[in-house]
Amino acid sequence: MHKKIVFSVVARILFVVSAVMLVPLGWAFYDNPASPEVRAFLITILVGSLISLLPRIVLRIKKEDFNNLNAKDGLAIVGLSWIVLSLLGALPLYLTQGVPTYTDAFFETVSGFTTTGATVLTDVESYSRGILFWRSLTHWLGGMGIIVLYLALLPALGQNAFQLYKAEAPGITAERIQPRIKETAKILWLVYFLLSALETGLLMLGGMSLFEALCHTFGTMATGGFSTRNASIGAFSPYIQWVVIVFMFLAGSNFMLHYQALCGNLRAYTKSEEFRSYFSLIAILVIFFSLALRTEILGGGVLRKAAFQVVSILTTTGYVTADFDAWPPILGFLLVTVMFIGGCGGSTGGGMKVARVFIALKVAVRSVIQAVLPNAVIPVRYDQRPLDNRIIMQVMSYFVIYIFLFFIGTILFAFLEKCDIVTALSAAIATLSNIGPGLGLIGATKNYAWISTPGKWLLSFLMLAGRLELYSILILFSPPTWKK
Amino acid sequence: MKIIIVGAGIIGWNLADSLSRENHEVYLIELNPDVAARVDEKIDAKVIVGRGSDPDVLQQAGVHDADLVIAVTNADEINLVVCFLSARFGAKRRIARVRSESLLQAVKSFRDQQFAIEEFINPEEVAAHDIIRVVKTPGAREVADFAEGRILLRSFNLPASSTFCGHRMDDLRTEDFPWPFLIVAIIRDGEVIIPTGATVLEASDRIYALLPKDSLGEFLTFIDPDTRQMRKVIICGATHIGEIVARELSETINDIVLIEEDGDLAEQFAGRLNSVRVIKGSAAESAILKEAGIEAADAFIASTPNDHSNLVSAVLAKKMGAKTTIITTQQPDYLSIIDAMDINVVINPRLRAVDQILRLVRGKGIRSVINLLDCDCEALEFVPEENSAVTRAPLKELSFPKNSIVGAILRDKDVFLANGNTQIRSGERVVVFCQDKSVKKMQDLFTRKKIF
Repeated sequence: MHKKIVFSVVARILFVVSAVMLVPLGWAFYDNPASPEVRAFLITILVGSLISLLPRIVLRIKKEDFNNLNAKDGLAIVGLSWIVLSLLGALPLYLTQGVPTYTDAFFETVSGFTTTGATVLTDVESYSRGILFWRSLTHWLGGMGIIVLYLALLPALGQNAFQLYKAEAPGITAERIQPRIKETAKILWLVYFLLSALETGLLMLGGMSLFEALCHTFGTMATGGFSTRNASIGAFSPYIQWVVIVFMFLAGSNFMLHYQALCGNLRAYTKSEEFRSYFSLIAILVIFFSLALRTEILGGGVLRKAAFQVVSILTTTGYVTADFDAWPPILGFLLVTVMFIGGCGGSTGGGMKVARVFIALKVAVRSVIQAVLPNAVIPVRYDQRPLDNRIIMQVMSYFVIYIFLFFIGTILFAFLEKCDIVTALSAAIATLSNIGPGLGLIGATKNYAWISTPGKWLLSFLMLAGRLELYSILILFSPPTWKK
Repeated sequence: MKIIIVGAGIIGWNLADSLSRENHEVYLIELNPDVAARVDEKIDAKVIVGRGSDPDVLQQAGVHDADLVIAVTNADEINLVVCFLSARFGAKRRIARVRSESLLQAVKSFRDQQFAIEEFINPEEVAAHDIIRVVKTPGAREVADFAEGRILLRSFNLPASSTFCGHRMDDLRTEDFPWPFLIVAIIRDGEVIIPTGATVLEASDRIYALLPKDSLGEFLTFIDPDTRQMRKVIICGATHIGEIVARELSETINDIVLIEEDGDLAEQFAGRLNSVRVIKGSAAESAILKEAGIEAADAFIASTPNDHSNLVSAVLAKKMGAKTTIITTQQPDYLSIIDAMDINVVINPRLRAVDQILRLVRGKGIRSVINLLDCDCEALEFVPEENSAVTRAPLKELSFPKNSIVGAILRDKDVFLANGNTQIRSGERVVVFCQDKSVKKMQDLFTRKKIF
């Protein structure tokens, strides 16, 4: 690894985020210029800028050095940036004494950047708007990706921008809309921004204040799940709930498709096999849940509640409007299963991604057919095209590592917290897939505040690994990464 | 500009790399998925896996609104088809690599109607002409021609015996000298010096000089009084390059020997060129070299397709007495190693082709670009546009970028060397010498400002 270059790029990214923090600072200042929040944000911004200036002075990197960036460096930059950003982003919450320990602040920030939405705050409504705004803004930044934002805004990193883009963008293959990564990154952020603006407008039409509309838009478009209310979206009208359902659905599908649709090619949606699978999956689950809940929920809105919970969990958002813990066990179990799947590639959603799961299923089916017809040549098709063996291998190994991490996480968590198995299982998958609420002690109406310090670090690790699609974080723990 | 490159070989790769750095929108079509995956990682361009001659693949790259299509696969036929198809689909300009001489002639004879190709690139031919220029200019380190060979750029290491040594530049610049020349740059201890009148030339300086074609013979005797035209040349490899070189040199040089390992190739070659003596055997064997008469050789040219054998045979030839050694290489990675070895001139046909194509792409007033190897300098040939800045006043009243020099001007078939009073007119051919970083500024001087 080229440590100097990696550190200097991480520092540059840190600078971007320090600059973005001026927005919540502004909000806190507008509310009350003398509040501790203003002081906390100022300190954080100062610390962030100082740290990001350090490599400039100490390392003296030349422009040409960036050409040496390789795939390993790209992964390391992304992994390290996310950790450093979360460490910095946790400062405001910690400095204002909003949470008892730094671990809590770190957990909350990681949960924000990774768009998980698992919270340690027991009474959200008691916090100031500056802090809540920053909390939701971490969602929005992490949703489309901080590195992608950096690539879109700042001067190009030479020829190697793709290494970084690939390491952060979710999905099987990182696609380019435009030949130049910078343009691709710009388009993605533009589509993201437009959809966010649209949702904010629609939420305000439903009677939300600008502040709440923005916070909930960030939570929805990034498939995050932080709310400004204790009752989450359940505190708002059915109209707002439907708006959020629609935008969660959009956020969980591939943004490249949205771009093509904006360019006038609406058929892009039906042409994409992943989108069709995603759509059918949601449709089937919503119908099933509605039928199953027909007799459970009194007072109407069955379809809305079923649709909200299904879409929220599948897209890995984690907003809730009903306590699904109290639903029949089969439905809870189905939701946990769905947690593994997550959104589409190229979306802001987490999980294993729809395409990976369906490809893995097709490979499994193929192996069964192969057992019957040993000499048959059976290609695995996706989007009408046969898949390369290399991609199949990547998908399968991703699948295996994911399941492996899930079990390790569950076992460690159960060991650390001495909790019941349902809580342990759902905590591991709800963080690994960046969802937020699970079952049992971390159910829809509960939170993560009770978990011990080591437990919170474990879950923070799972959240980061899940958001960055495993490799960026896992390589930081492998010794060859740190060798020259 | 939207550019589609077909074929990610050494030419395609380097082109894509340079062009994407220059902020062009680059699509690269490559058949081999492994190569494509590597390109995807290393170059900021969109890679499409597929055959360039497949209309679907071309359309996937958005050929209909491409500004330029560059077909540089190994196969001439595919390159022609790519250009033909992309012209039909609406690509604005097309460049093709065509190696086969006869195919090139045929295609050129009906170019507009059939294949609609603007420019042809033949790396082997470009390299062969480089070699011929070196052979015809003994002692030269680098050679480049401008204005169809009427203006020459040559670089030499001054030997201690040179008449130039110890002279001020003023002494050398006499207006009425019948064989004019202009020293545009000196490299001394690795530093580039743009000479003024007071600069004194020293032995072992590397000088770059611009001169009209007719001055060359006299100029060479100034450089080194002992110099003489080459009389014996040994060429290794009956390749396309070897054949062009042998054929052209045989017009002026009587003693040319060609060494070829493959019996069939050697026989075919001997059949085509009867003025050349052909020896069958490996040039990496001293017995074969001795048989070719290596002690008396003025130049040894190794241009087989195999870089390793070129290198080995050139080093051996030098050891055994060849005065100048010239090799061609396929693999650009070797250039830095070769620098450290005792080989006089190295030519990489593919990189030369890349240079040529880049020149066509950059366009805008520039006719020709030569990247000089040892200093970060370029020699450029401009055709000043009507009413461009450079045509409005004599040179001394214009402000040029630092360390640049306007050298020679071709005006109605006559070559002039520029001085402060020279007034450049539009449509002339002007050769300038400047640092890499000032190319853009130079270009602005020679082109009309666009007003939107």
